Amino acid sequence: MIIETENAASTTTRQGAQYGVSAEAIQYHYDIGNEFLALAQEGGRNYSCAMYQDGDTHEQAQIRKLDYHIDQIRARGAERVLDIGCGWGALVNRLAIEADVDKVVGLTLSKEQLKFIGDTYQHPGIDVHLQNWQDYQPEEPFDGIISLGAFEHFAKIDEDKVEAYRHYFKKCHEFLKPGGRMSLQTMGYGDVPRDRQHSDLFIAREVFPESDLPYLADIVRASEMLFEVELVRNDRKDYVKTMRSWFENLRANREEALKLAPLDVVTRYERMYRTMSYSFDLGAFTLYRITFRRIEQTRIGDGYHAG
Amino acid sequence: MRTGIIENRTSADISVWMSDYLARQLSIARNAVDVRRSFDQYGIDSASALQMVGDLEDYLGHELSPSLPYQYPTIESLSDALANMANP
Repeated sequence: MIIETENAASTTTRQGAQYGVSAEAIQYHYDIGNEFLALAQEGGRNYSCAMYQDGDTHEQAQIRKLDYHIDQIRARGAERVLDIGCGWGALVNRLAIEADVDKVVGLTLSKEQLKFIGDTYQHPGIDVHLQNWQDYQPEEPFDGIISLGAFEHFAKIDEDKVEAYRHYFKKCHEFLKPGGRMSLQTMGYGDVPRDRQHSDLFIAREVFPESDLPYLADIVRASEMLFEVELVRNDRKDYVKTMRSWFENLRANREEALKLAPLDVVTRYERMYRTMSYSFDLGAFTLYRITFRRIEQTRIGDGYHAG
Repeated sequence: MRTGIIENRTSADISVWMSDYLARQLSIARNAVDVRRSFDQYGIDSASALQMVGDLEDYLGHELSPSLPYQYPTIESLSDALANMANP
């Protein structure tokens, strides 16, 4: 497998990347250390919402989530699949091993994640790059794209969100073969007014600097003329359980956690997971799973142009 | 944590805990806390209310619904409701 960082002459931070989160901000949350976040996560080290059916353990629900997205983009037996925001590699591994994808490419801005995947999953079909999707230029297009819990980072809190998201959809349109699909999983705002006081929410303040949640309307608006929306799910109840699991795991591992981080940091993460669980329960936050299909020109006239 | 037994708190216990808690959080005098005053009259926003629910979970030793401060918007009514949950 190939683990690639950008060359020394370029930076992994802002080169070419105008929108959304910087690598430093990503590293603020994710690079607290593999070991620390592992205390909250399940064995696959998924850091996105699981998909529960009755009787599922957290582990099983995480696998069910991976397989759902794999099915949505028809990835089984495909040649090339891209994972944007590949985390600790659960999906790239599932794609390569279980779904028989020939070549799986993962993108991340986190050095810790990159290192973890390199140490954990040695499969010739998996390539991981420490690179922003805005800078990424694949040699060949992909059959499908999956992005789990990364979209929340694609636009900063004070940016024109639709413009930033549109840039994302344009790039994904280029990344895909004709008719290719993308399965996106992202948190969103539910019944939170757009003119809310930012101080009332701690997403950008404490949790993920330089990030903010999307509104569904903005996601869909940004995808116009680039992607057809095939399916939208709001599975916020799954995140009530997932966040509660992360909270309980971290709490149960308090002793270990204190060896890795000071008490105020440990309690900050615990508080974050539990309060987020509440927010999904109350409907303030949503969890979208959206299947997109790349739009191709199908008829004459109508002034068609891709984006 | 929800393991282990914590003896059931009475409504009075919970009311005292919440009064102490709010006095600390809001930096007001303990005797300025009115158990019949609604939470939003104290200027508690939704994030702080959720913080309180979390801390109440730890105090009581079991999970709570985050909608409780909205359904029972005073210290008195919430304490009664929580005590009744523990002692149905």
